[in-house]
Amino acid sequence: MDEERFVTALRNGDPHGVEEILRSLGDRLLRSAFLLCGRESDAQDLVQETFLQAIRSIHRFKGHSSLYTWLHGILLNLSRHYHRNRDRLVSTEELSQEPTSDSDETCLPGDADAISRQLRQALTRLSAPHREALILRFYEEMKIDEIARHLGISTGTVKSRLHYALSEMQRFMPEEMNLLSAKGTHLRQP
Amino acid sequence: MNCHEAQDQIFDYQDGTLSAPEREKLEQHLAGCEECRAAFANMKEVGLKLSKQLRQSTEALTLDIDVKERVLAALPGQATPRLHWEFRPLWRRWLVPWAAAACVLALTIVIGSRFHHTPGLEPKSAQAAALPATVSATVPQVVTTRISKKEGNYVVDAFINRSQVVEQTFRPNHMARSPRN
Repeated sequence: MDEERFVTALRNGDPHGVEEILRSLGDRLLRSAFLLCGRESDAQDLVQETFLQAIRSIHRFKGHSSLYTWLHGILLNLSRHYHRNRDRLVSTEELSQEPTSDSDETCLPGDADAISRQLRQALTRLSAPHREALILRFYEEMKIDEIARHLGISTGTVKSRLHYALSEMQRFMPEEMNLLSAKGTHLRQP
Repeated sequence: MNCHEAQDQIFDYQDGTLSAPEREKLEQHLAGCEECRAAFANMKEVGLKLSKQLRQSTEALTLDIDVKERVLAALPGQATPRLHWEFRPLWRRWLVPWAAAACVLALTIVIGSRFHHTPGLEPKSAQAAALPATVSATVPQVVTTRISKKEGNYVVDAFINRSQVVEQTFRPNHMARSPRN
């Protein structure tokens, strides 16, 4: 099914068409949501609400971007509400259970599970704007001008957030994992 | 072009969004600057590794069948109830209860101010007689919602009191204690 038929299916409330959209774009949105919020159950909720909002507001879709990008915009707004509410509701007990240091865990370069865990922990330590920029660039593989339009900020701000986010990730990730940078080379802050 | 300007264009160079003269100028700088060549190569490597790791760390995730069913049930014309968990900011959840409480408070103040007794000023007996001793007011419906999480799903409880009647009995002002002379 092509993009135009996806949009028509959403406009007409066609269950078969919407099912195909869920099959085609649902997992990708879920993975992005997971990287944004860090919890699978919350990511599932965020994607569910993204689709529900999309059904209610499909008349606002003008085709200036792809359907996926439009859905991702809804997801981003929801994830911002999520972070605001979570920050307000998080208990001191939960805070005490948050990881305080990545050096607690020994990681070998080939240990995929440990690397994934460390990566997710490092992502949660970034601020929401830096995490969003990083995910859009390196997971969604958007160009700088696409990210700028998606987030409603200048290209200069996007680059600055990316440089900062990468340097923070380098700091948070254990050196032995050699994930982000070759030893001895540094990213210059703009 | 200096190193700072060159490295500020790393992403534009990767995206292929530089103009032909800009790209030429940058490549000239890179040809003569080992540090910038290393930084560009490093950024390319970082991007590839990070993209790969982000994909690997999420590839096992798939959208729940429950989520799909709830989305399909929400389509217009579907028979299934459309009650679903709604992602709303906190202020919106409390807007209706607080607005209703404010209405009741405002009503109480307005009614109370008409019966307020100021020492030294006796009310006119005709005006006091015209006011009823018991006042009742109907306030808009009060809705309270509670959202809880149970077995991976959100459960919404709604408590609705329609047309709540508030009743208050006032002592007539002429029965109030007279000020001492």
